[in-house]
Amino acid sequence: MLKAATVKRALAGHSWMGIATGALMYLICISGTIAVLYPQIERWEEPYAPEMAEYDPQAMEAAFNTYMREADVTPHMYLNLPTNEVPRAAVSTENESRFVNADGSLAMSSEHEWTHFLIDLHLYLTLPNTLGIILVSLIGIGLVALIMTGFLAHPSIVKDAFSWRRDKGNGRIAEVDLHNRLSVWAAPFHLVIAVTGAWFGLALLMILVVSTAEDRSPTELSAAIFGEEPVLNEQHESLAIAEALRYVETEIPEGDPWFVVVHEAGTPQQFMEVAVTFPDRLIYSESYRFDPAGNYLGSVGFRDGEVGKQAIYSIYRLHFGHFGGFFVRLLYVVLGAALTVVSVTGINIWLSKRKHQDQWNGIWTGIVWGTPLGLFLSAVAGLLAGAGVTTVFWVSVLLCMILGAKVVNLNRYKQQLCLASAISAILLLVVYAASYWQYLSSQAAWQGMLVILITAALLARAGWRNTSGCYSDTEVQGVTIKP
Amino acid sequence: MLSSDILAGILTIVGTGLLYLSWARKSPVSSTVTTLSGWIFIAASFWPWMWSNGIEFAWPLLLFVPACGAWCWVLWHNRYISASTNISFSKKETTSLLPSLKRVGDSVGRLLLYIPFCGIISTWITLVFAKRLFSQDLDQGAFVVILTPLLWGLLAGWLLMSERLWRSTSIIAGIGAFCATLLYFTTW
Repeated sequence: MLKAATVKRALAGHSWMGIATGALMYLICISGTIAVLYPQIERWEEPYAPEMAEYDPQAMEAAFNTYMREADVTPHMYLNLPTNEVPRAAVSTENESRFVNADGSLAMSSEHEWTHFLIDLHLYLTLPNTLGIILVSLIGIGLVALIMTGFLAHPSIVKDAFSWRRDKGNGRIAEVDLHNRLSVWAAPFHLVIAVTGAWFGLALLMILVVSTAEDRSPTELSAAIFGEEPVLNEQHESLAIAEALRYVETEIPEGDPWFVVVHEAGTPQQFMEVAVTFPDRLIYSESYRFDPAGNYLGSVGFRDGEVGKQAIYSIYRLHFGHFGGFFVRLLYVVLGAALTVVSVTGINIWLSKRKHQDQWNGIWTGIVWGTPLGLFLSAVAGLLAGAGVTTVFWVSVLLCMILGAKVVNLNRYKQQLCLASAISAILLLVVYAASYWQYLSSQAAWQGMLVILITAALLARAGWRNTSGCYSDTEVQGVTIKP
Repeated sequence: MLSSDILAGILTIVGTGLLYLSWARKSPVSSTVTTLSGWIFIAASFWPWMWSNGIEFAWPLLLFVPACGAWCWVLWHNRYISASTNISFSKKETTSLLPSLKRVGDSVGRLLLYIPFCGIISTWITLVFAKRLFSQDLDQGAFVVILTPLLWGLLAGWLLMSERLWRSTSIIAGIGAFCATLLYFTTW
């Protein structure tokens, strides 16, 4: 049994870290929950893209070599192959991308501003990449600390394991119970997400620390993970991608080729890597290397190399839930939404415990309910203008925060923001339907629209429902609220 | 495949249901037996997850899915209570949005402890363990980059709830210094 003093200190530490990470944690969680479905969102955002269930390797090779001649070649050039999940082919430089038709001709440019923004928000909080990813990773560390202190601040964890008391009134007890139940039961998921999320930004820092400690260059350590690059010196006009794909098809029939990346593109040192996924493996992919003539050079060893290499290359799928089919995606969305609710209710509980209500209550309401509004409005901006998505999002959230600091009746404000979000979701549907009316029957289009419609209905319901919420200070009568 | 997934789901729901019987209801059987059976059912779902998805996917599913099973019982058990919590201020107070300098200083000091201090020391500790446990450089590196965030968070959590901050900080610094010395003599 934990001592009362330990529980009290754990609760104090939990509150401190919760407040320190609060709004950023919420933004990372909500964007991450949506980002689990980013392949589907990307498809929805570009319903006009040519799709194909199968592809001809020769056509893909022709498309890539044409693109190499037409585009501004960058050190890395990509060919994305159609898969079951995203049945589209595209060729890309490091800066731009074009779809490929089934016959190997180049189609329109690929522009998915909003999906790009969503990923940017989750990985970098739209900050410059290095700074952003380190900040997001540190919040991952904060989440580990929150999980630990949260457990220690919860003395009746077993007794209350299935309790969700719904009180009439401002719902503080319900909110405390919801926070505790969601966080305790989903703790393994939250811990995995925190550690794998922290890894993305901190790997770079740690490689620097370890290389300094061991007096080795960071490049040497990176090469140990990603494999030494082959040293070639051959002049080739075009790349024999079809030859490489045929080799993979014959020699590795259990794998699914996913994309081809050309390193040192356009130079005599250029070589190809075919990334292949395996349906029963958590590794992101295995990379098979070929020279420009399509001769096999070897694999990097993510599939059958050292355990450490396999573990590192499994982190991505574990973090984003990109394994095991749609059921796992759905599970990640549900558990990700749970973490989002936990991050919101945590701050709500702290606010309602204070003996007064001030501008912070309103600002927090603005952040929480202004974010869905900002996401929908930014998607509308992306569809209408194809740009300004990030600006529209932040301006919307900022305005909601400023208004929140000014308004008196926060419950009504919350309802208004919910209704505004529902209306903006409908607006998004209208703009989408008007822009892409000829593609609405495509699977990608109608599935996305259905999800938005359901979200709009839920937001409208939340807006109309006469709830009082936790935004006013309260005294609970006759009930002991346990942390 | 699908039948294995369904079986795994049923085992998880039954397992969490037994925990529910044991913890939230008065189980007709001994509470220990019911609790143990609950955990056994949940653990048993590993095999059907493995049959349908492979061993690598079975682990995350075993860890994550019980949350959904448990929530079925939480929703089943949820109840309205009669407590009224309707007392509220009709008007918001206007207070300064800026915290005091003392508070800002305290928070910055804490952040320096939780972030760079705990980060460096957790890296040293995991590096020492990695060198003892693995012979391959790459395995050592993977161990460090995967486990450091976890240890970092735990150390930060310890400092967060520490009553005597200086004592806890000194202990962590002492362990860090020991690990750094070990690393120094094993590397150079």
